[in-house]
Amino acid sequence: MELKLTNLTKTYGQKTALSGFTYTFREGIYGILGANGAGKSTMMNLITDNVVRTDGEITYEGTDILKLGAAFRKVLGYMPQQQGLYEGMTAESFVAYFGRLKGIGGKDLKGELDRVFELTNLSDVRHHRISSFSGGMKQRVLLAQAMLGDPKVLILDEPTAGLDPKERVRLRNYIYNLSRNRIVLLATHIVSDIEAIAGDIILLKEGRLVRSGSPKELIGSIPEDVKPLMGGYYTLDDVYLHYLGDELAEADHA
Amino acid sequence: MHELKRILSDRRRLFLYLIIPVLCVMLFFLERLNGDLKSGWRYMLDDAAQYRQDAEKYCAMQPEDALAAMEADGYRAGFLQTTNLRTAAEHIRSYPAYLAGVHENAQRMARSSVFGKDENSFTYRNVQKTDADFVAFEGIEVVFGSDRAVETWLGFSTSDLLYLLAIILTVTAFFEDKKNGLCSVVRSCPKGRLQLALSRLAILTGVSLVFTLLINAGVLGSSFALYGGMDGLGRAVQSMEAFKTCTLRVSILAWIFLYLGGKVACGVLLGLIFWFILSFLSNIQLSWLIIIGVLVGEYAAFTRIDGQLRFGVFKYINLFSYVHPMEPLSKYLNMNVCNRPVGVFPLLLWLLLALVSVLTVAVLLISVKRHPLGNRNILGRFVLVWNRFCDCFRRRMHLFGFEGYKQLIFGGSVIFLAVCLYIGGRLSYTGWEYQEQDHVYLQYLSEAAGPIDEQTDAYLEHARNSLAANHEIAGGFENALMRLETEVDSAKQNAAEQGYEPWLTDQVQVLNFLGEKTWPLTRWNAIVALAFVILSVAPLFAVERKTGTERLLRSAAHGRAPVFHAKYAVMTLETAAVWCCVYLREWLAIRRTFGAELMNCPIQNFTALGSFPVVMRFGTFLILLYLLRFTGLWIAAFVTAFFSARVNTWEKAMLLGAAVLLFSAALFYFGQDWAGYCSVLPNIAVTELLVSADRPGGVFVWFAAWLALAAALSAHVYRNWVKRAGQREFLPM
Repeated sequence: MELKLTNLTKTYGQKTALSGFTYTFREGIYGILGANGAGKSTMMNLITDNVVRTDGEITYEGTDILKLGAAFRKVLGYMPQQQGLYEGMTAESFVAYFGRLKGIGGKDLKGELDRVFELTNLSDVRHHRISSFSGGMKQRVLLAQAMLGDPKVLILDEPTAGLDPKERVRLRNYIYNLSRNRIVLLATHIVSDIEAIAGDIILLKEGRLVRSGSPKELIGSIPEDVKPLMGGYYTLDDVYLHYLGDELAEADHA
Repeated sequence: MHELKRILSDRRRLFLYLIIPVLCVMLFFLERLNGDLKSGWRYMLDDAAQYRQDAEKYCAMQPEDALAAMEADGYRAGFLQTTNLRTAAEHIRSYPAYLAGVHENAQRMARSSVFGKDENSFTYRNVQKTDADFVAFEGIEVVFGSDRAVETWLGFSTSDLLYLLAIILTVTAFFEDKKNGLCSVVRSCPKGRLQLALSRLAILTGVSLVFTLLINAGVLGSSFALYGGMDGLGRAVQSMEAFKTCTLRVSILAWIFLYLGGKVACGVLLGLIFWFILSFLSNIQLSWLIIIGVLVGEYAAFTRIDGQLRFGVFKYINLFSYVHPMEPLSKYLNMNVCNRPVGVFPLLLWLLLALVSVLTVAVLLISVKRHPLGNRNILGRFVLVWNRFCDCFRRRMHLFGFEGYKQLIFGGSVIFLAVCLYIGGRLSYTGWEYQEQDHVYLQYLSEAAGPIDEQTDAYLEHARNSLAANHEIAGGFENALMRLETEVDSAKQNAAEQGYEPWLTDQVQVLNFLGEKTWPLTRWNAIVALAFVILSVAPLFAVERKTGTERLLRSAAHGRAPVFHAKYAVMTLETAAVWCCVYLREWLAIRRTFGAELMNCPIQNFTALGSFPVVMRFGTFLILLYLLRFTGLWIAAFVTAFFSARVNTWEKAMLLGAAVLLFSAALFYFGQDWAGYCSVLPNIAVTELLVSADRPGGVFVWFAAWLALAAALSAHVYRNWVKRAGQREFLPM
């Protein structure tokens, strides 16, 4: 399984949101780290074909995803950053609707609904209206719809925003268990979300790939003259600050 | 003051506040125009001028003299009858006799064996109470005058509904903090409890007062401007026929002020009821559901129950008695409570005072004492059961079902379609511009109408022989019969030349359906249908952008082409619903009016369609007409769907639809014929296209051009939704 992004570029007028991004994703979890406006969501939108690419190519198993069309979207699970929901629907209606949109019907749908609500810990409130949910619960509803149909490519844009620590850990564990035989792209600016589970981390800044590698490789790439944040050892937070947080890092060094 | 500022800072609400009085006056005039905006004005102004002239002439006389003069002006008897001048004069003349009759009736009933035996019966008690209460009329001097303005104002019940809307709008604004999750913040502020509740109470009273004055001043002022009669406001209110049983000893002017004061109090009461329900229940949606349920139930009881029957209490002790307080304030009404007659007006008055006091205390207590969070949701369990029940069905819905559900519920189309159903029932389908004066001819025609065959010839021969045998009545009959014979000959000749079956038909009836003078009527109906198509289709794509679910949908396997197709299917269904509300109704009404037999008549027999290039039966023509009308509405739906796909809220889509489709339609309606070339209205009204068609291809080329436009717009939407990604809207707002 391979999702390949080649020279992917997106510009909005004069502003370049993503510039010449090239990367090949295989089975596993990929953490995409970057500050707000670094190009994470743009990359997600390009992969889900919600934004017209300016240049470059995205292929899945060697074929451009635009050519694959619905066949690619059939293996895709997407959880966007913004909470776009039909607030008047119940959680079950909403997820059932997306089940239909993913081509799941009949008894399969019922089983799938039970499964995703169980996974996202929403079984007790599945018949409640979404408008009565907290931000974290809405996030879980979005996650539930993304999990439908056992997607081979799972794109999660800020999935833990609004979740309490218990839910974050639960979600992290779930994503980790999911990572076998599928590609999981997890965009975030919260380092701890991906530190323990991501096989590879991609650092984005101003639309460009700054660095990528396993957490160990990235930590190892920090020059020795940089003082660790926590004192004794380097963490991914040091990596983040070193590569993406210029001002803060400079202030620390001073 | 700050709360008022907050309420008015919502642009949509402010717009609605401003539009309500204007809309009220517009609807008042629209009702006077009978749906014919173009020539209706002239009729309305001529009618009003004639009335003012008559009122000036007759109201200066004593009722007896006035009635005699009206009798002498017999040619306008119908007009005088419909404008109530005659009724008013008769009422004044007979009023003393009427009062004496009530007293006499009471005494006779008391003596009569039927009622006199059971003094505990409601009927007996009611008659005696009425007699006792009517003592209030002693010494009242009723004066003949012009009452049409006041009667028209009071008869315009739509203003009461718009007033109710203003009250609901205001109460809804009180719950925005709850909706936005701010109620805990508001309650934490020093002035966030009692003071805020008192401010809201003052605002509710203010809104009730302002809208009572604005709405009624607009309608009453317009009514006086049309029909005059302001100088007669000092007369006793019983001088008006509609008030002959009103037991208040006041002048008409004083009654108007009393009525307006009563309306303000009723508005406050209605507001307090809504406020109480909304603040008492935790679940806002459920509260609204209950309010809607109560309103529907109360309205059904108010309009359907006969006040004289056992359940009359539900008619009068009803929310709508406070929405439309005209009847209890103007009529002497008793209702049966445990076999005792109880005056409706005093009871409603005491109930009003009691309810306002109790509900004021209740809403203040709730605002101060009740904690907004952590309350037991009493009805939550039922809601959950209901949701679970509905989810069973929704889970089984396919994409089309889901799209329909979203469009109807979240897009609000269900409300627009319900209003369309209501308004559709109030439209006129045939005009009255063409009239046949020769009643003898009409009699002959009604007997001979149908296919022209041996039976027609036999009938004519028989009629001719009858006339020959009755020389003394031959004059008028001769001309009518000759006219009929000429028409038969002419029909036979035309039919032989063009190759269709000749029929003898009532041309005037058909002209009032298809004739040129009735085109404003068909254009108006088309505008109404067009407006509802725009309203109901506008949310089609915009609802996704508004909720931010567009990207999510487009990322799903069936989120593009299948959703697009489902949306267009829903759009077509909505168009069909509007078509049914307006045109299916019309079709059925026309079939009923013309009768099943006439459906077989070839349309070339009608003078209105004499030059229609294709020979077809009237039934087939109607099928063609109404299918084309559906096609016209469908084209409008395609254009609106295009706008909906290009903007991010349905309001913008509606605005664009109105600006492009309705504006050009309005221009065409008001006689700018050039606008017909760029408006979809001729495709919806269709009649004039078909009636003036001299070549079969013309109409179809016209429709084909519009359909091509609709297809091009749909292709554009398809490309954007299915093929392209992330299109920007083109209406920045």
